[in-house]
Amino acid sequence: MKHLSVADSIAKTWSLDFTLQLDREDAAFLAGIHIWLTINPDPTLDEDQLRNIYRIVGEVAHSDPASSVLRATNAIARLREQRLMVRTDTAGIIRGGEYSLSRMGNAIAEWFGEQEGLTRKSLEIIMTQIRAGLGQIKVAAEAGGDDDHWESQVSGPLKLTVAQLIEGIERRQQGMDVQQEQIREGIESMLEENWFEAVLSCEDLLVTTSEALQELHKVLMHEVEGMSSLLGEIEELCEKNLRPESTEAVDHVRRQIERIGGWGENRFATWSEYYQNVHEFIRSVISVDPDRAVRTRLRDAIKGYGRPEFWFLNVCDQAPYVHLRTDSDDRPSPAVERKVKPMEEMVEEAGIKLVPLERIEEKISEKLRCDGRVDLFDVLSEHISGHTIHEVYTLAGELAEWLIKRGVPLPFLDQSWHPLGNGIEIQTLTVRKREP
Amino acid sequence: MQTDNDRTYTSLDQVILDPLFPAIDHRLRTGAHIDMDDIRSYEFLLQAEPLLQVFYEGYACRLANGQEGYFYLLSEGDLLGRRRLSGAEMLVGQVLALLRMDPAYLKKGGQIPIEQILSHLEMLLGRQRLVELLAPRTRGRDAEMDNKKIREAVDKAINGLARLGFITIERARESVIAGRSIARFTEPVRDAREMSAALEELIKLGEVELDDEEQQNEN
Repeated sequence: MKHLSVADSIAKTWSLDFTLQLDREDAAFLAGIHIWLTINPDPTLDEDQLRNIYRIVGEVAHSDPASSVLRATNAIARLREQRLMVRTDTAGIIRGGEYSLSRMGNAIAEWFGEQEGLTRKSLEIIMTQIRAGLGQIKVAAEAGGDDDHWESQVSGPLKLTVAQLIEGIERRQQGMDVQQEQIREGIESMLEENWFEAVLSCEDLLVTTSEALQELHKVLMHEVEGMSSLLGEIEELCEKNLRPESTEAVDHVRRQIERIGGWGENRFATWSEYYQNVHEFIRSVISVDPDRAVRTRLRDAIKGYGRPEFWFLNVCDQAPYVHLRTDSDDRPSPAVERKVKPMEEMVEEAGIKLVPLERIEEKISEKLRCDGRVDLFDVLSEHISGHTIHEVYTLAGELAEWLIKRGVPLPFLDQSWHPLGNGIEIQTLTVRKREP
Repeated sequence: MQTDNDRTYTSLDQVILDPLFPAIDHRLRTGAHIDMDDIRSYEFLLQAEPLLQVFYEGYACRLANGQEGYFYLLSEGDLLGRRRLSGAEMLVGQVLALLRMDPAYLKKGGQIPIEQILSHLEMLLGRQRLVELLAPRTRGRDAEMDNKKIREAVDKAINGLARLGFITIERARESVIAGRSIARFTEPVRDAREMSAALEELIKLGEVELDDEEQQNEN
């Protein structure tokens, strides 16, 4: 059960060059086909049946009945092109075909239908089935057996039965997300339309939804914990019997279970936050302005701001602390004579061993004469071995001065810093020979 | 020792010695509004309010407690300075106070996109008036330049209001969340009186100042 990476999935889907486009009529047609297939024993429909369904769509849309057949044919073609409907026979063009909805068509049509929510009862029923299934799988894993046994009794039921039951919960959770979104929109429009009069009904709606979510959260937390330990035991048995495929199936189910548990936690927290926001809104906005008069007056006040006068709110604004300082004394301070030591003495005291410029001066002059140019970085690189950073630093300064005096500096095309041994970087300087 | 849950102050020195005091005091003196969302600071102010009133009286200041649940300091003398908000801050503040009363922002956790502030300003004031107030120019008109100046003025006002604790900026979402103290902008229209009468009273309380001209380069 290998999962594609996000990037692989995007690349694969992109390469399919698939687009989905459903207008109002096609969507209604799809929903009609779905219900027909649900309530009839036949797993497929023929073209006449499809046209009959489309006729209802035409009536709802008030379209011209004369063109109904043609439009039905086009709609069928569009649904097939988009892989929402599949042809299930192999008769080709000799006679009319048999059609059914694809998985995608069914999923979309189900979404259009009433969203299946998650109730405590439905959750408990599914959870009991999952627990029972996992219990049987654990017994089978304990018993052990050949490859066929592990496939049919452990990994197979995990992948098909248990995983599908959990998918049922996930589907209901998604349905509940849609319901919550609708409740939020409902609260918003109730407050907008009825303001203070809507407070009680909004509070009821909030409390009911909060209680339902809290119940689900509790059941989920309890069941997820129990199932995780059961899965842990099954996984241990799979590993002990060296059954990687079964271990992988356990992992897949565990991820699903974690996801449904995470959903409960997340939605409960989100709803609690929303609950608080609405209550805060009721308390600080609606209760303070029950007839919405402040809102109207404020709107008018903004429209007329500055007419006849501008008004401004005041705020405290403590001036920054001033650091006091005594007045400066303007009297000249007596000069203190300091004995400046000669450079050589200071260098010696600092323990710096200088590379005498004189030692390399001749070589550089020669290079400038023959090559026509000298580069500071090249010269220093050649002469730094065995010297400290301080010595190289001093030499670099002297040498730069020497080069500028004797050559013509070339424009700085390269302004980057080049490392010169450890701890020192220089920008290079290139000079060319002075013309006589 | 007092605990966070059971803090009672019987004397001013207990208040001042509370580790929360220096930061809260500094915020109040620089014009910040502290509301119930900052629960520790708000609780501190709630408990210490009677003692702090006496303390701030010495500075000719008043610790005000807004009815929506927020505190701020008003300077009524010369010892601590005071300033008035800029015209842009006033406009943006009023629009945010209005939008906070709209239930449409509830499901987004109270987040109000900056684009909405701009469109409401234009809708309520009209383009010409908005340009006059936020992008005044002596010569010529250039729509693109006006838009840029308006946006800059609004951004600056938003930053100013955030510094004063009226709003929180959600930069990643290009939106703001208005706090309880934004209700200060509704003070002159809170009751059915004439706005001028309400403003007169607010002036007496030191809450508000009037001017015939908006000063563009404040702050």
